[in-house]
Amino acid sequence: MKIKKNNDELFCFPDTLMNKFIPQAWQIFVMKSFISNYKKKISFYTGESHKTFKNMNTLKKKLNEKPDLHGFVFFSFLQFCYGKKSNLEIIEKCLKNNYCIYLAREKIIVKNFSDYKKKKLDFFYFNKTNKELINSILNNFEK
Amino acid sequence: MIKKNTFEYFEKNGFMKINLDKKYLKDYLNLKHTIKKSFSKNFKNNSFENFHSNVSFDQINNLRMRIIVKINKVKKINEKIYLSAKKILNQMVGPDIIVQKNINLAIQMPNDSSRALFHKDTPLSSHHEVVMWVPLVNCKKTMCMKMIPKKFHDKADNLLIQTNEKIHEKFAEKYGVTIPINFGEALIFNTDNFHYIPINKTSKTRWSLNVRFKNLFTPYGERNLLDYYQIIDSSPISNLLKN
Repeated sequence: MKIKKNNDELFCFPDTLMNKFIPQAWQIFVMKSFISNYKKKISFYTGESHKTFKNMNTLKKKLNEKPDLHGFVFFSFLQFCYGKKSNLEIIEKCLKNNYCIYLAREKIIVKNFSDYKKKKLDFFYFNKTNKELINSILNNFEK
Repeated sequence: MIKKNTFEYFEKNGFMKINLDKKYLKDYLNLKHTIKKSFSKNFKNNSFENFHSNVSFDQINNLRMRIIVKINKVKKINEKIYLSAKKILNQMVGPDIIVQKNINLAIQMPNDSSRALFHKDTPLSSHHEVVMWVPLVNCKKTMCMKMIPKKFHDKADNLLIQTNEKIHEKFAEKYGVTIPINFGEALIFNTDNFHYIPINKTSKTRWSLNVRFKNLFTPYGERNLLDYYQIIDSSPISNLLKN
């Protein structure tokens, strides 16, 4: 297993669609506060754009760069639910590349495939049982 | 439709007392042991019932929060609580069941007036949800909550605009039901049910856990899967569809 050099740094992804309700600065504050419990810090942050939020292309691009990081912190799992189907395969790709996933709103950490296996059913059914919430966020954003 | 007589009382009133599965009582005893060991300075040599002997009203809430953190660090605590009432919960809300991620603990010391006001858990919680209230000590008289049967809910709803606690107390005295519950038993009630917590006028401290369960696919309140709940049990068809 490849060991990351910067074992305490996470790349940060605020939720672009949430900015109207929770300004980005506050999202970052929440994420910083959450990961500080695990002695992690933010190395840098970016967000999906109006054109990439559905397929999470900015994250995919970052992953392809193979950054020297412990992992990624997201404001919410909702960010994986804005596409036609949930972007669970991106979480799997992160884990395959030995990156950990931190979800601040849900206070969930997925460190490896074993953690992911335990949570997969919850992730899968979150999308199915929250269509109304997800659609209202999408509709509000796309107005 | 098959009639399940076990639930007749629940369906009429919105709450019922159950016996916990004896096989899992050791988990509750272990939990009590963990609490007592971790907070031995506060317990001194007292039992759970006499916990108030060395703890002041000013200290209790901070201490309670620390005990909650400890409880939630116990491995698979939600699973253990679920298993102790699985047969009932599966019939009541199952088979795809989600559970509150963090277990709550209430400690009601004798004559401590700080407590939750007369309330029901909806609409913050889902209408399709049940609360499992598990005492860690034998509870009788004012150690117990007053449960308001479903038929008085409209009356209770009108009462919520009143801020005078005396009115709530009088209402609970008149319409509420006190159900003595011992260690090894639990009270299950629908989140729509009004309940009132009286000042504990006994000489013993009440310790109780509370945890919420609902079906994965029933409507949600303001709390959601992942942030508040996690799946605790799932049907073969739900497992099949995720693949």
